[in-house]
Amino acid sequence: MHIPDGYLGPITCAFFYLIMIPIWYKSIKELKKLDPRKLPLLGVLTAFSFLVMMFNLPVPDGTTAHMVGGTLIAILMDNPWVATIAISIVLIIQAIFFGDGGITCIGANCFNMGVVLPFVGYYVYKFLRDKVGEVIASGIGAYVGIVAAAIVAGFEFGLQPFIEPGYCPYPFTVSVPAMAFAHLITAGPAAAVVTAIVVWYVKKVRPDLFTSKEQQVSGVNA
Amino acid sequence: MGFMKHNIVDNVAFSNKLRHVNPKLKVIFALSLLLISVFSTSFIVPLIIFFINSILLLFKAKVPKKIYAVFVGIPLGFGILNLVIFAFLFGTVEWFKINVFGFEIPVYKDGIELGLLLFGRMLGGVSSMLFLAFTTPMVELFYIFRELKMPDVLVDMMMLIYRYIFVLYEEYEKMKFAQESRLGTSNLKSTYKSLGALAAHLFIRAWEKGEKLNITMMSRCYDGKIKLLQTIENPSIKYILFIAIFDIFLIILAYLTKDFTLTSYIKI
Repeated sequence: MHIPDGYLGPITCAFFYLIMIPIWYKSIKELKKLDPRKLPLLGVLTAFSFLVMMFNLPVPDGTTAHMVGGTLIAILMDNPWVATIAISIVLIIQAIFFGDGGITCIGANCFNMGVVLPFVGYYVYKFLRDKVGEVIASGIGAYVGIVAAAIVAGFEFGLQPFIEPGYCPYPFTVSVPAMAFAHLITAGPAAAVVTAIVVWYVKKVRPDLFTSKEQQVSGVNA
Repeated sequence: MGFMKHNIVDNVAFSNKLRHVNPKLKVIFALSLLLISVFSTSFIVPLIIFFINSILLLFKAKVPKKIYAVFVGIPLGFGILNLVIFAFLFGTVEWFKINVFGFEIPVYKDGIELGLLLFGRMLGGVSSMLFLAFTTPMVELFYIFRELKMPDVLVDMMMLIYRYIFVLYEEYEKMKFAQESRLGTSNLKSTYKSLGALAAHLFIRAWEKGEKLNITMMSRCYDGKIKLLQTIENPSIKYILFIAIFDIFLIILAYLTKDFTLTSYIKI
């Protein structure tokens, strides 16, 4: 769902940069509240998320889809603000060095995949985890998060022809169903399955990540 | 191909012939061309920018042609697809009709113009970023970010993330090879199971590497800021002026061609 350069006009790009500035500011403050010793840990987890975004998963209709690791980071770091900054950095690196998503659209892409996706995913997970367990809740959270982000992206495309013509011409009656359908059917299930399996496996191998806050805070195995 | 992409870019960024040109100069050049390209209102200047970037990358930087073709192929294919869709589906001014088995399919003049515009912008924008990506190692951008007063915690994060993308990618390759040699991808169900297990294992490895890295850095007096011992000097003012004049020239050209429409020169 990366938006490429040239799809959003200057007004729309500037609007999303302006929205993201206070969000980035808040996220960085949250990041600084983290124990500085957790910074290397978060760096490695974010590199993991970068690689996960490069996974191409086969889906039954014969195409491929990729997931975004934002919900997973939000759940495992227990803080969606940290996921915002982590995913934003991933998107910046992707835009600068791999042409995936545009530089002018970083604000919009960070809003969709760095804010909407981890926050929706995280709070759906929190709401459900006492009812259906952490593994299933994380899968559902990842699914709802990525679909919500896709719908928001569809609206951004869709409003563009009414804001300033000459950029993406698809009105939201076309773009929202297209984005929602694609992610409901392909990327959503992929994200749900991979996130749930990772959480299930992490619970099995490293249960301390979910139960022992003291150990996480210290950052070092005693 | 997805994973090979960043290895290729990183290797080319360190071995190309424009490697030692001042990185600040390259950033200014690439970003200014990107902005001019993306906000032009006709496709002429974006295409000029695309050709300039291509010439610089292929003949000055000596980026391998095959690699450049692969990276440009993506926006090229996407742009052509857009052009076709717009010509048939998005427009109000009919240009001509195509007769297919008795059905008349209209081709729209304004749809083609919009498709060409998006096509040009995409090529101009992507080639500008490829110029930066293929000629400037990412680590040099981190120095520039720090000079721009980006928060230390953010630049540190970026450096660690970039480093560990390659470390974890190597781990990923080993795991994937081991899975495939045990027929882990022989059908759809086992493919998903293998991918989930691979992601989970990769996550555990990432977490453990993070913990080890934390201990390692602390034992070397890490206090929340990674020290960078090198600085990048500012580029010579005459090069800045040259780029500024060139940018102004392109902006004027973009303004002069803002109402150009290709279809009005082609008679049907």
